[in-house]
Amino acid sequence: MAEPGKNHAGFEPSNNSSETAASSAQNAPAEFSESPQKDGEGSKREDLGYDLFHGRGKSYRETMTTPYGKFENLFDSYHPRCKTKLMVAMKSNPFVKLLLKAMEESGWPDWYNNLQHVACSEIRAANLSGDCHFSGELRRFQLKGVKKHHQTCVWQRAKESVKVVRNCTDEEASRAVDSVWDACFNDLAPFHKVPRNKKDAIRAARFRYDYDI
Amino acid sequence: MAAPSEQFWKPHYPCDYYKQEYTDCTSIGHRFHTYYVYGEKPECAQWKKDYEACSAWMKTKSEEAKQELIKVENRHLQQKYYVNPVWPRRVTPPKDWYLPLEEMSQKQQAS
Repeated sequence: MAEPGKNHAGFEPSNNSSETAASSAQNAPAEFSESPQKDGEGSKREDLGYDLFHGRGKSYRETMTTPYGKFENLFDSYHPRCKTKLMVAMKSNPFVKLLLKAMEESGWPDWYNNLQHVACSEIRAANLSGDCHFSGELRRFQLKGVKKHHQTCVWQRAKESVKVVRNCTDEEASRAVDSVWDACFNDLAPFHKVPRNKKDAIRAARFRYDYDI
Repeated sequence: MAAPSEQFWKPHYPCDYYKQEYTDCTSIGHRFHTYYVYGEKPECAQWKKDYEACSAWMKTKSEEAKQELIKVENRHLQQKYYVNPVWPRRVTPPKDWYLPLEEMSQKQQAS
């Protein structure tokens, strides 16, 4: 379990530390960056975990949500309500709006092949999305202790998803997550504290943008 | 967005924002959440000071209050410029940004 970063309740990180860390990140160890042309063909779809996303690469009829639209859906363990909820949430949830907007503005072209970048994204996703909230963990009986459980949850989720998405071993994934933990767990952009509920997400946009979302 | 002239300066954020953040910070839910995430108590005194600086300017409109409030707002605006060291910033967009994605072009070739 990695060492946790400093407490950021209400304060922003100092700019000096980010400058010195940036120069060291650009000399990052070559073991973590993978060249996009391995074996002469590039990474395959199965390695990148594309198959894990429901509905990707299917035709419109295959993604229809109503069970009566398709004969097979009547006898499948298919939950159209889940998909409808997802679609509604993508359009209306303030978390989604904030994070997608920040991701579009950040702009790094070829980040998917670098294990550290993927690990950083996964840490931030688990940290800021509410996957590791107390009530959720209580419901899933994953609470081994209340103090700092959020950090263990984020670390485990990030490691598992890096392992699955990039098809690498447990050790490689945990090393990648450990190496970017300090920078990425404390990078709360676009929030200024780890958001607790939707009101936090709505208020977060106020100090960063000039309008409410 | 043009910068306003010095004569008609007004605060960037209404004072209510600081007050709401302070009341949320001292709530029981947020205390428990900070203990759950960091293992410590939250530090809420800074939000209270920000709110007091803002309301002092609203009451007196004096020069010192204005300078204090400008310092507070600069500290909040600095958060926009934090750079995560994992991703080095690029200077120009990629040269082929206007081309379609690989998958779409492959599908068009297949069909």
